[in-house]
Amino acid sequence: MTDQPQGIVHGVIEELEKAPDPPPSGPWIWVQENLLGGDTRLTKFFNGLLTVVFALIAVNILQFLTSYIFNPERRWSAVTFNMKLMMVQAFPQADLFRIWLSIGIFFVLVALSLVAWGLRGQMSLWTLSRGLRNAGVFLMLMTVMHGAFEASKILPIPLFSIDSPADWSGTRLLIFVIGLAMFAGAFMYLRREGIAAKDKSIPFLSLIAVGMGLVTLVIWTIDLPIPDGQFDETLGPIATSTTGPWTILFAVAIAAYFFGRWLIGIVEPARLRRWLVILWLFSYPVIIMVIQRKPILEWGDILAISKDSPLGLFLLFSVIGGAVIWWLALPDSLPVGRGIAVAIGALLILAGWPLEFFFDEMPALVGPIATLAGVALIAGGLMIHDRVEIARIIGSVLAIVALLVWFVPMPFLVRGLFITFAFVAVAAPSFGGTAQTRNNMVAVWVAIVFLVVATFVLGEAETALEFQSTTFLGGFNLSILLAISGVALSFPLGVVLALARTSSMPIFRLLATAYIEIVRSVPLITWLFFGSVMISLFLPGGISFDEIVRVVAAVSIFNAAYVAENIRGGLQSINKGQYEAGSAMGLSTVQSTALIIMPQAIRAVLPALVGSVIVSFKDTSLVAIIGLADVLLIAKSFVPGQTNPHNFLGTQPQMLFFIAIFYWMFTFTFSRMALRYEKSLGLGER
Amino acid sequence: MVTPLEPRTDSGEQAKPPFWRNVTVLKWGAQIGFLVFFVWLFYILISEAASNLKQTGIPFSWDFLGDPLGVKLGEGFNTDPESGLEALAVGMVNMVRITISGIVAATILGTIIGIARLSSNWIVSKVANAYIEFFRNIPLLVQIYFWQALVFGLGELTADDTGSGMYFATSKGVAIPWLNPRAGRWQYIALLLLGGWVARRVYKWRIKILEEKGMETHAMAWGLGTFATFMFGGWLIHPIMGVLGYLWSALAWISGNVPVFFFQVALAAVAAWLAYRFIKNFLDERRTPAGLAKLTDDDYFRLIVAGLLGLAGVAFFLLGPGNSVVSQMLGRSKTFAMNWGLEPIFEFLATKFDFSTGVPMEWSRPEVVVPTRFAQYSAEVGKAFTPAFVAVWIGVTLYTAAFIGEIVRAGIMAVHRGQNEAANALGLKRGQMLRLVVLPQAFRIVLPPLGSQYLNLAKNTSLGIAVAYADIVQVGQTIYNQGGQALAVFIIWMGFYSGVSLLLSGVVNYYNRKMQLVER
Amino acid sequence: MSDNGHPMIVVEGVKKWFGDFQALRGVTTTVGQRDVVVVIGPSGSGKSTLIRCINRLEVHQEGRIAVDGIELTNDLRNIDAIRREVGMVFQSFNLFPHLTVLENITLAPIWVRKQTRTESEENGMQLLERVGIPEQADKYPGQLSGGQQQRVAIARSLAMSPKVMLFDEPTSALDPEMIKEVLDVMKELALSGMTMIVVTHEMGFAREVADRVLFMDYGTIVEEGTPEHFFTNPQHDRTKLFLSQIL
Repeated sequence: MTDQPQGIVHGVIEELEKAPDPPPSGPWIWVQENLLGGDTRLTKFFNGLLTVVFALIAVNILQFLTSYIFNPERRWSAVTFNMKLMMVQAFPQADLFRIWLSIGIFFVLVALSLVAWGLRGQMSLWTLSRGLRNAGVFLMLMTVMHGAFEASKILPIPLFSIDSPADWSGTRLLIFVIGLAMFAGAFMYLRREGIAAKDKSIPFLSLIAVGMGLVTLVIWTIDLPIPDGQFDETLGPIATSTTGPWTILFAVAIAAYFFGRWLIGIVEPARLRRWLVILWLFSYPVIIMVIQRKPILEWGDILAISKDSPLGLFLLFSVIGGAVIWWLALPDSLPVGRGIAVAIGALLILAGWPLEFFFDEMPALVGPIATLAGVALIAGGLMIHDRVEIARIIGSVLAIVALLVWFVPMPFLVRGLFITFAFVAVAAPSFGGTAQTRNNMVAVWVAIVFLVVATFVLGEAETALEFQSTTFLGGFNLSILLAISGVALSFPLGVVLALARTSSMPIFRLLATAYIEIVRSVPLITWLFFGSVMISLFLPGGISFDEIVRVVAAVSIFNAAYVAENIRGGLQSINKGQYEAGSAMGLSTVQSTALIIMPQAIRAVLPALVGSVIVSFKDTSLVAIIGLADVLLIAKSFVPGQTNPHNFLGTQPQMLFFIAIFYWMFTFTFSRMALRYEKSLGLGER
Repeated sequence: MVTPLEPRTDSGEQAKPPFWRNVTVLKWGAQIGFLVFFVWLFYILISEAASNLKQTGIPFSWDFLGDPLGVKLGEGFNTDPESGLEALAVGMVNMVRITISGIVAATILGTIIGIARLSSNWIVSKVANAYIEFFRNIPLLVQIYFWQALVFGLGELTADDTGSGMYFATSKGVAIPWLNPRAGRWQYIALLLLGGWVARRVYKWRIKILEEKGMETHAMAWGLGTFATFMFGGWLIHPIMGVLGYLWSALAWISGNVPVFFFQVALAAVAAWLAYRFIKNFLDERRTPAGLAKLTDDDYFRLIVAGLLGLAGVAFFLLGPGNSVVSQMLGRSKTFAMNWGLEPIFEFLATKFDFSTGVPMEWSRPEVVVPTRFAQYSAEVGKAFTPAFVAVWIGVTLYTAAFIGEIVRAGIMAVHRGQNEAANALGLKRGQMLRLVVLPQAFRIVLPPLGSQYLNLAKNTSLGIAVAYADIVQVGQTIYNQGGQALAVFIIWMGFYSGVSLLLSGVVNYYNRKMQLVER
Repeated sequence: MSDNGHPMIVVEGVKKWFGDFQALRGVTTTVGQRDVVVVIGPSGSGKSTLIRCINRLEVHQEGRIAVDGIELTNDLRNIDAIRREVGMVFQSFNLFPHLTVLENITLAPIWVRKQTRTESEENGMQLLERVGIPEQADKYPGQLSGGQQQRVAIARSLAMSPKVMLFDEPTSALDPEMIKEVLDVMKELALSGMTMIVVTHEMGFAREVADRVLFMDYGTIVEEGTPEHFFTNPQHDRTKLFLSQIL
């Protein structure tokens, strides 16, 4: 027994060995594996058959597409001639720079964000050259098959009928040569580098820059079909009124990128990001309401010092409201709290009753409720011995009062300000405390007042644009507006619904579930009808909104249910321990929801939310049914109806074809980006 | 060891906190406060709407349900309905028709595409991928418009086409050969239902023998065989089901002559009994040997809601849907007999079951006829689909199939990882593996998202309105364009679609639960 | 030994049900100031439930619990006060993954204690030094090892300057080589005079640090006494069986 070894020391192997060589590859092996694979002779044969059948189908569809697109019977000049109509509809020509400015702002923000968030994405040369190689093959195939439009029916399958009437014109030859060059270059590169190309990569940014450069080059040189007289079309260059702005925009984007690079050297990245988030949030409302709408602002009226001018209201609410909020966020000052509670209570009692005498249209309950709230406040103020509790009660009472305000006749702006005030007042005790947070709170409040007032002023103002339509929004511009505002406005409601649905309180849960399930079970189009026909019914007399606003409201009602379900998924994915840790540390439910749970939940469901943005973008096409002139309605009905100066009757199928490709490009790109983002999240924190 | 409790601030027994600091009170106070506010808001909105409607001169009413529509519908079982109610029924049937056929077609196509997407054959998988990426990234409405334009772009149907053929595809729509129902169909369908029930019993009986004796009993073959016997034998003997005619007559008589009060009491009793059963079961589940477990707020809430729902049911039935709500909806006065629309249904059925010996169905080719000046498809033989139906059906099918393809692919992929290796280790062939191991498991993963796609499809058929397909949305729009009762129509839409989605998700949940049980 | 000053925690006849399962069947005990009490027992014996009731993460249904003279009732103010005074360390750390280590620690002082950011950050850095990982302040929890995460969790609880610390199996989710670093921090804490209730299976810790050991089973305290009593001369059969199984 004793001569048995007690242990064996193996030591550590320090040298790293190279991985064995990859298995042999080559076109023939690839074909055998991917097209004719199988365990037995029968499956091989079957697989080969499948290959042939599917190849025939694929080639035929391609053939059909190319011959459809390049058929001289198509009148693509209908697209080029109506491009402006489809993008912005009746937007006046003289003010078109406003559109370009909007796109420019978007480009600049994108470029700055790329810097601030550091898009370090790299594309390996392997992927790139494979893509180029395949694209080259595709181009060559297209040009070869272009000739086959005689055989453009899908069903009878004639393969490669090269004896076509189409000539090998210069353009066609050029495209073929470009395809060949792409294929050959990429193929040779891959051949030379082999698998090593996977390790080499270039940054996305330079790819994007090169892409933009190429696009600029193309738009300056390409000839597109343009209408010529009533029925003919010729080829011509793109107008400089289009190419010029695009070129400038590209230049601006690149300049903005380098500006960002310089900026990040002198500003802290976190700070830059925070500012960018704010800019992104503000950019869209500003673009729509100020830049594109060109409002006529009566500065005299706005800046008048009176109790109902916008400036007066702004000052009134930001000062008095700010003072109340500042106080609500104070940590400890019981006597002052009591004083304010009693004062507000007395005010409510005094104001509650006379209201009924002054306003006939007011619902009967408003006066008594206001009085009761006042009594409750006074009693609470005298009885309670804790400032935070008094603050909470005041916040809740203010919320009730604000809701009553909805039914008291008063200027719409004041109503809106009261209601916003209630929300901030309720939140103030939970998020106040230190001097810093208190000041932040007041700053946020002043910013909100400014926003509400500004929105109202801009919404009220007449537009100075001259156009022949009911609204300055139309075409693709309208589609984007619907998609963005539908999602943005539904987001807060969705968050509240998701919280209510996962709440431990049964009545909230019941109501939220009912809302979500009912809204989701009814199709969007009926909600659009609801928006365009029925919403006005439920509003107090005298209040009415533009049809677009109503449709946006309906879309938001609908989207909120989906957003809520997404966020609920995120909430459920969060470990119960996170809630427990929050409450064990003494955070209130509101605090731990806002500071701990929500940030994690939203991060977890961001990909799903992006998915619902894509769905929402596709869904905007539905407004064509209720007669809003979005890009689909214009392409489907307006353009094929034109007879003067150019006759585009009968172009409906090809316009639909174009619109399909148009939507496809956007949704496909967007969903690919979302997928990439999701993948980059996948390996992250959890 | 035990030290007495020494509250530092209070003296005496456990201190009751004041209500504004009592967590329970606050919780319920907030909820009830919100509920009151919500109800009040609802009331305000409704009364606002009522007064607004009064001002426009079109007060809210359900009269349109009884009034004639005055417009012909595009298609359906009755294109010239007598009343708004019937028009809506036509719209509902049209919607259901396109939904069910779309679901079947999209499932088949989607499954094929999902499997093709995973094929080891490069070109097959690429074509499937291209299909998915193409169809799901283009708005459905654009696709439906496109198919409509395509159908309208087909050749004209002219008098030269008169006669029958295998199929027709023209701007008037598509016509194909079809199994058309004939006089004996009602008896035959009844017989098939009976056959299905018997086959199921036979199947269970054979399974029982299998379990008891441990021998192969070919249960599936027995079941299918039984059904096939009914199917083929029934073709000859279906007239015997005419006896059901007596049953329908009897039911029609009962629903027409038994006082409505009897039904009301019966239904109210059922409602009360259901509520009682729920509460009793609920409490029984929480009863332990040591007595009733403590109930949480949530439990109390459920009990209260169950009790209230039961009471509401009793009140609803006793106050009488028969002689108040529906009568008023139809504009009829109070009647003694039950008036829930059952009598005419039973009477209708009674007329259909009459021992007639006509064949149940007939296979026929489509035919073009020229009744007046214009050529059209014959309604008697073959089956003709309107351009609107074709556009919507192809649209929703191809669109949904792309999503189903992705779901099927994801389902198979989810199973693939471990199970694939296990199956390989067992030496199963690829086909066997797919059939025996992967697909059954994938089905379980796939079912919930598949269900939501079905729901989406059902909702997407509402886009038919864009091409004037006479589904419930289009019919509803026609009605409110004529009478201005937009609100009432919207309520009907909401009720109908909520019903459809409840039904669909109910079916999916049922299968889902069944699948989950199989697993354990 | 246990009666140095007035009792910090008083638990009297506490009962708790989950649905129809009774998790606590009348638990009565007292924890004095500066006491370190270790609770042991088989899983499902109610020991975690007990300390979660003391922090009101679970609501007890019968009986009374008081911490530092404040009774746990439905009273919002009392619940807030007790949560401020009682720190808790969880088995699964429950750090907030979207915040850095320092932000994790300063979150509650800022929002609950209403400290300024600079003040709480200084305090947080001191605590991180106390648990031995000041250099990790700007990392995210996901980048730390299990032992480091648990030490951050302890620092996070200490940042609220609690009077009592509850530990719910703090080392059960850790790899063996990381247990010691956490136990060392806990020992240091116990020596500094913190009142602690520790649910654990680390018998070495119990023997070395505990003033008193409670053995729980079937939702009751079966036996309690000094560590010496427990590890040399247990009385009850259940206790003997349990100790023989785990030692």
